[in-house]
Amino acid sequence: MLERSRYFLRQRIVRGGILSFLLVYCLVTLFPFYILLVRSFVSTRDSAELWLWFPPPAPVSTEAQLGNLSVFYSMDIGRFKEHFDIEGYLPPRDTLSKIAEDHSIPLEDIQAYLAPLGRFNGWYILLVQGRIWGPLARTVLVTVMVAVCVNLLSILTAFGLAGLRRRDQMLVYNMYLLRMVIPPMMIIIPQFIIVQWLIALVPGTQSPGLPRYASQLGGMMMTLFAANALAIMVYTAAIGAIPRDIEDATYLDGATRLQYLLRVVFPLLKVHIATVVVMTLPWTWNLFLPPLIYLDSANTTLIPFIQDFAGTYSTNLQVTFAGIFVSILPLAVLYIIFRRFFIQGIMGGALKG
Amino acid sequence: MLRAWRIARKGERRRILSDWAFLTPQMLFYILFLIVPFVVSLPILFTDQRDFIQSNVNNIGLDNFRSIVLDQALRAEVLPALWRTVRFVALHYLMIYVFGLTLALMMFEVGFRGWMFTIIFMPMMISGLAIGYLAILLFGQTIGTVNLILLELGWIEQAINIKSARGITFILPVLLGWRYAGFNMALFLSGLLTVPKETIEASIVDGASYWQRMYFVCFPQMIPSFVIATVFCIIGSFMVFDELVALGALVGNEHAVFLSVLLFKYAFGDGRRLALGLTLSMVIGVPLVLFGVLLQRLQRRLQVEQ
Repeated sequence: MLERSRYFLRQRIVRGGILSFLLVYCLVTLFPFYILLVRSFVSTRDSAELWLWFPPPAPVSTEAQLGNLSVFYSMDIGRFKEHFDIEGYLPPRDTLSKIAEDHSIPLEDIQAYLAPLGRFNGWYILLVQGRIWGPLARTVLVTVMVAVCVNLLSILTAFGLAGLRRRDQMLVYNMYLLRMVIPPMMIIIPQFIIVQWLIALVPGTQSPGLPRYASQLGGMMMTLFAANALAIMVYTAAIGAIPRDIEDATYLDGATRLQYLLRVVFPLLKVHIATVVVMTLPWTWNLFLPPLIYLDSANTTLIPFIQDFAGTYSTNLQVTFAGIFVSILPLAVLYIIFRRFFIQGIMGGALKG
Repeated sequence: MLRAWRIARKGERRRILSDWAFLTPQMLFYILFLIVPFVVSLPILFTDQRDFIQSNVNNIGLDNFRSIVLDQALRAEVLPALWRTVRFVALHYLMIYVFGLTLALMMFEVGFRGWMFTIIFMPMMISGLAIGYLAILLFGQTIGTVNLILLELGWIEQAINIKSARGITFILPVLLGWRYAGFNMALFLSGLLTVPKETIEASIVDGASYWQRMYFVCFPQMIPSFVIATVFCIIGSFMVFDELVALGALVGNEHAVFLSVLLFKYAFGDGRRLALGLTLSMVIGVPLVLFGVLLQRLQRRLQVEQ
């Protein structure tokens, strides 16, 4: 009896230990995201210090030199001159108080102008100067288009594979699974050659403009339509699991195969579609290599844009971190809202059992 | 397929045709972007083509293959990159067990918790580029938060530099292990959950210790999970690229030049050597694909046996 209770006590201690370890692991997992947010508010000047909480607002010193402002705060001097109607050259070594004196501008006005630049520097540069909205819109476009087309094509394929009863169906299925083991870097070089051929067929793609940008986006997306092993696997399994009797009954009622697909199969696939969409969403949203090589920098998507941006403002770390945070945020929000489907998708049928 | 067609009755033939009508749309994309590329690149392997738009291309036979093995200057570039990549793949492969398997075993003991899973899976949402910048945020030489904390506590004398050879070798695999932790945990956990409860209980009654139970009862039944985790890890990490760009691989940090970066430079960088890059990608990629196919077949066979 005593031994038994001791066994259960030990069991409870072990469980408690494991749970607290997992809890600590969860906190460690969230830590980088938190630090990223904090750091997007820490000025580059102070970045060699430890910051675990948001820094207090640090007003831009009136003795700061213009050159340093443009290095550490990425201040656009052209805009600054325009705002205060200053004409002619401003030496980079001039301090703000000297500029105020020389051009008879109230110092408070300059400080008021620079306040958001100092306090929310990363975010200000990114959202106001950075032209992030174009890349963001293109990323949304690509993500939506790829999600719609890949799912549609994969459902058609899985419907044609219908339970993998014949040899040719098995062969096609295996071909699509092969996609999983082809490293993207290996295939992208010849894919690029083919996409260039296709783009050259469209008139007006030699010079920058809508035809060029649209065909670049289209070409890139088409390479992504080729196959998504996960989608094929999920849909083939789901359609294969529909009882044969239902199909036969539908045909007996005089329906065609297309009607069977649209009226019977589609409604049954709702949960699977949600699962595949959320599982492929991060992959398309975070694409880096394909947009980097297919798209002009004026036509790029979010992740290559952030990399380009980080290169442009390489002296301003705050901006880079704000940019990375922006690239993570939309997906993180979607993920938290639709976490049920993510868990379902990744765990498959294992949890039900 | 032709035999099936010949022996099929009329109704069955109609069925085959309508199946193929549904298969065709995606098949066209598949052929154009996954089969034609191999056909297109095959003749280029035997030429000295340097650029995508080049008119005077000479046939040089097997020289590209020969120079990968023999050319001194090229070897000085390829061999270190290969060594870095292999080292990285090995350490990253270790990490899928350190993170994924450990977390799965723990979660299995205490029962599935949705919110914990949600948090552990969270890093899968972020891009490889963001992982690279998070590495700088945490382990950058002067600004790294973890560095600063460890220095403050006095646990380290010198700051870790993520961009150095040692930083990339040892810290990057850990960060990628962290990123894929939720994914691998899910793979192993779904493997664990397929083990029948009765056999586990029987082994407890028989007095097997925890590790005996895992080693003799659970792991043998989880082999499909191990195989698929291996496929994902090796194919994914052999061509790791985005993270390295964030660590300066394209702007002169030679410690971050892995094979993928080298291939990118040959194909798209300055001073292009397209044919050579393609040859290199075939020499590395074809064995990798064969290995992947082998593992996939193994996994399928194991699943059928179960």
